[in-house]
Amino acid sequence: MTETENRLRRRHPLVQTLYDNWPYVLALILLWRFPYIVGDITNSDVAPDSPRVVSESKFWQGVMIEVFTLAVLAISYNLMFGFTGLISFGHGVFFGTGVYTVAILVSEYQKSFEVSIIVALALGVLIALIWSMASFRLKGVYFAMFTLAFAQIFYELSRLTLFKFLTGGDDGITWTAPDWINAVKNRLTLYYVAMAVFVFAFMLVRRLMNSPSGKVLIALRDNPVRAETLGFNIYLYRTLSIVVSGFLATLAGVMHTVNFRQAEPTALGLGRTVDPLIMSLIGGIGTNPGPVLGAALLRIGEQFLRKEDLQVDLNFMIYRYTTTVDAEKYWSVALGIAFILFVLLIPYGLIGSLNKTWIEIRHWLRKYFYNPLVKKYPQLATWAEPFTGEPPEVAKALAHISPEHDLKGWVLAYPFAAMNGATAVIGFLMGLLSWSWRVAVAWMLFLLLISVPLRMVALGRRFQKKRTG
Amino acid sequence: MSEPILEVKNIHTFIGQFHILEGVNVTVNRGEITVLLGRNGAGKTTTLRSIMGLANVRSGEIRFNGREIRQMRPYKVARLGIGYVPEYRAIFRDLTVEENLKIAEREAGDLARRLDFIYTLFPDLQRLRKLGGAQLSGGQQQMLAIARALVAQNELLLIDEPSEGLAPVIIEQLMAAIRHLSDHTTVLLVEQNFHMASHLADRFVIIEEGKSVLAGRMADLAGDDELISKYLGAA
Amino acid sequence: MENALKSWLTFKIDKNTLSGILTIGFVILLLVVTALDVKDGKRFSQIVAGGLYHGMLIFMVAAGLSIVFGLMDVLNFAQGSLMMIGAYVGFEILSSLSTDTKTNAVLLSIHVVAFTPIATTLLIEIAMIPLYRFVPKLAEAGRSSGHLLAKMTTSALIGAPLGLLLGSTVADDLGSSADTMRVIGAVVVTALAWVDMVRDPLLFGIKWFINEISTRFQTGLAIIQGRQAPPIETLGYKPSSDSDKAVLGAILLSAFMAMLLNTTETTTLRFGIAAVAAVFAGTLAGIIMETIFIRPTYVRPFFQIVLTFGIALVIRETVIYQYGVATQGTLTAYLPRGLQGTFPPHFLRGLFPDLETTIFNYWIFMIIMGLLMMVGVQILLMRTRIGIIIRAGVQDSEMVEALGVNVRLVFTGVFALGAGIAALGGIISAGFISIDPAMGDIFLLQAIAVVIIGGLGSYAGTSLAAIVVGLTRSVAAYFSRQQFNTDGLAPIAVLVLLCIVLLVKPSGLFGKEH
Repeated sequence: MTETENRLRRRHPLVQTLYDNWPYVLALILLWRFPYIVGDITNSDVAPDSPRVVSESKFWQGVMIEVFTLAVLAISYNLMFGFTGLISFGHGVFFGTGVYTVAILVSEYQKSFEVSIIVALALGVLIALIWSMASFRLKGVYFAMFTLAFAQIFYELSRLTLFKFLTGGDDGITWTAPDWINAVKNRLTLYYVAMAVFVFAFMLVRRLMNSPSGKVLIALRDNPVRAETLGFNIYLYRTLSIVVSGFLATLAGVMHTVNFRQAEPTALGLGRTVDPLIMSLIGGIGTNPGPVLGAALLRIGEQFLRKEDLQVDLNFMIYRYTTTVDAEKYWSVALGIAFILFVLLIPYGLIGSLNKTWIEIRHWLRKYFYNPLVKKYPQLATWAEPFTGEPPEVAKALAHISPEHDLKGWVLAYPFAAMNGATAVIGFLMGLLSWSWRVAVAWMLFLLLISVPLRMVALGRRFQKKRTG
Repeated sequence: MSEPILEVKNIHTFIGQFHILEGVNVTVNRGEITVLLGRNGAGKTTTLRSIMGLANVRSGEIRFNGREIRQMRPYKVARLGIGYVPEYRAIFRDLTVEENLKIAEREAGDLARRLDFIYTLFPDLQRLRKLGGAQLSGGQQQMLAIARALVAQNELLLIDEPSEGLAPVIIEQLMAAIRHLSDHTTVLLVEQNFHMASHLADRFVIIEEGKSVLAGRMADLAGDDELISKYLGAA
Repeated sequence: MENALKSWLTFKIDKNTLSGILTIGFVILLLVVTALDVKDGKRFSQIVAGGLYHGMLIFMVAAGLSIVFGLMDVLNFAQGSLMMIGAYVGFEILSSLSTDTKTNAVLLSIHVVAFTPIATTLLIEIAMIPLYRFVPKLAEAGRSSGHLLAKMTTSALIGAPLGLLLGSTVADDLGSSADTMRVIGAVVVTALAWVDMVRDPLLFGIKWFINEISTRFQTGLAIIQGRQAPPIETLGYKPSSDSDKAVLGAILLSAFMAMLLNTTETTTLRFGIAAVAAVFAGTLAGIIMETIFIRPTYVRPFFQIVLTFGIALVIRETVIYQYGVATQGTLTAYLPRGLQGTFPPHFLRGLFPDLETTIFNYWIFMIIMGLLMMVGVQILLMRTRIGIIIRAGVQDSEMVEALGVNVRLVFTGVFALGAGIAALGGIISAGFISIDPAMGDIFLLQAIAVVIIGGLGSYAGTSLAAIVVGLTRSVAAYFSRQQFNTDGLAPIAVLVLLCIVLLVKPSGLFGKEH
């Protein structure tokens, strides 16, 4: 037991958690106060009385809701591509399932909003299960092509005039969201709900990747053959990754359709793969905050850049060339070029490069300052440990997990985990916020359902701790 | 006669992040057969790959005919006159025997010039020339791999474990062929089969854990059972 | 005899043969079902021809995709965009051409002079194939080095199209006579392209001719007389240099074209110019793409796919930026007023005369071009040294490099070849199908389906699958129109076919198991 660890141990676990994650806590507080901060700065109403009035604050709430939606989608994409190494070219199928199921069920079949959402999520999980079955047989590029074909089938189906009575063909359909979560009438609530969903998605994936199974997923990405020979059931882990990813992407689709109250074929298109891919790449593929950062940068950047027309004024000796470039048209090209440049020059994205640089700096510090100093003053070793410790490595992490640590135990334990009271209570409380017992029950059921992967992970972790003592 | 054609001086080679060769010195004299000996995983194959430019050599010196070739692309190294016969008989299995030879041409007409020589050395190949590479037996594949290195005018041949996994009769044939070859060219051989190595080679270099530890005349080593058991395990 | 008996008794069906039988069975089934439903010979032949031409267009995109994946493990998502580049460049060239017949004739003859070397080399090589077949010794004498084609392609293709564009641009800026400037531009750039190639005087052409003839004559004489043919070196034979063949070919073809120019319609000339320009642009784009973008990422396979994806995005968005989202229609509809009716060429207009069904001449033309490409690439792969290198590289490119072949150059060449074929597909399709910024994606999807169904890395599989997919599409379109009164089921049928093949045979019909 080193001096440092003793000192850290004295803190309350909750305080310690907050202390460790201070950037996230700060971000959370900022997001929570965001509508009011914007309101203060621009001197505008946070929630205007008339739905027709779009104040500055309300406008930016709308932008942020889109950011949350895209961030959830990017997180989901990153889980499959960045963490598990499964290339998906068909994420649109999940997103579109979320969009179309809710829209069709509510507008065509007059089902209730909450039931529609649950059905949509269940359908998303079902599709994810089909995908994972395909992933047992198909490797690498072949799997990517399967996902592409699979998603394109749904895209073409949604555009078919044959199903126009259902999907509205190329025009899509519009529906009406309930008042309490309507983006026009009650945008502030929608903002907080979207934020909650986003925080949930972020924490779920972060928790998953910090758990032993997360390490197995990374091992699966880096060297599937080795992971298999070590005794891990790679199919189960792939299934886990695809199901969680598909679930989150469907959730993003639901958020999207609740926000815009419509469904159109582009929701199923290739663009729903390209967007999260670009965002993950720019933020940093295979990192937790990367996709979120990418989503925020792109959506907010677009908001600022699209508004402006670029004035080009080139002045040579006698020749003068002045023109106005329409930023609206220019944006997509610029995005594509940025994309290529990132892949070529900063392949690990902003966060990834930052991490890499930090590791390099740490090595450098260790080599030139830490090692010579520690040789002279041994007591320094304990003080400087948090700053100079070795970077975590996958191989090392794997060494601590035994092959018996398998998903089967979790699957068996799921019914018990799902009854975890805390989840239900939180769901109920969230529902109460909307002053409707029906909604409260729906939220409770909903949270029970989405707690599946979370509980699985947590339980596995608990088992793990017991096993290793 | 003992003018060096290839000098490898203190090379350090990495595969990924792993430091495989940690200082290997090899000198090959013109007209001789030099053999690299050592246990499995000692770095013999990596040495050959380093010479060809197929591995990442971070430091050291590789000179061929006095010319530095360390940073050169593999095809340029090959064009200077080095023929490479990789291990596991890496012929092109989808190509016919003739096409396998054709691909090694560096100038038009190379093959036509050397074909008679190749077919006298390996008469089997002439019979099988229309067959696909995958249909050949192990020995025939090895012959084809060596023949492929003979198509162009090479001054030096790097041969990696020719006897691996072959029947003794075939090994005898191969030994005869390689001995015949050495009248025309210089050979650097990697060989696990000590019997074969001791009968063929003029000189040896022993590589252990990525370092060259001993070099000298084969005649000296063959008589010294103590050295053999120390570096190579069984005699 | 004994062996044959043995192999017959222990008859075991090869996996590829099985796939082949299944594929052909599927096609026959498809046709029979359609024939039974249609019960009308004219309509049936229309469906089949429609499927074939569409299959050929898909093939032109898929060919590059397939070879490039086999050789370099790069799944090029920008292949469809290369096709689009072909279509749009062709369109640009066509609409910038002069309305004056004489100017175009002059331009084309300049063009031909730049383009001739490739044509000549190909002609000579193709003409010699039967000869090589029966007299192997001749093959060794006749075939020159493998770099020939690559060198010629690069130097010749920098010719007239570039000049044409330069000329037009300069003409527009200076406001002088556009036609004059076009001709001057074409001449200047063509001359520049030739400086590299023709360092020797014209005399070389004649020397080459005598050399070639005498060598072959002597060898042939020896063979007829039944004596050992003398070794090639002793005949004083020097393998003909690039410029020899080039110059000779240029002289002959220019003379031929000069004769032809008086008789041919100018619409054909325009189309020829546009096609060559499109191929040139596609090839150039391919070279740029490979050397600048893909080469640095060979070590990161994941990122490669992502990168080509990004390139496709940029190309599409650029086209949208330039031309707008709306469909352009076929080239015919979009040409400037003076050029209306110049495309497609007259001889490709109208209906195929004998059948009296709505099979357009242009369909036949597309099918023929596709088949030409198919067979041409097959010959390149199986009969030439470059082909041997490519096939060997598919298996082990490192070993090929260790044998003294500059593999990177081969990679670039193969990529450029695939790009060129795709661009040709683009300009050809522009004559019948409407061109729009989405065409790249649409064809890319189908090409991917074709390549995966055929098995990644198998060229023969790709060729076969292209035809199968084309027919499937056409038949599905027929049934969907008949049953549901919509065209939409055709692309879905292809995608479903892809999914089924993938799930049943994970590495495609003729792909290697991994």
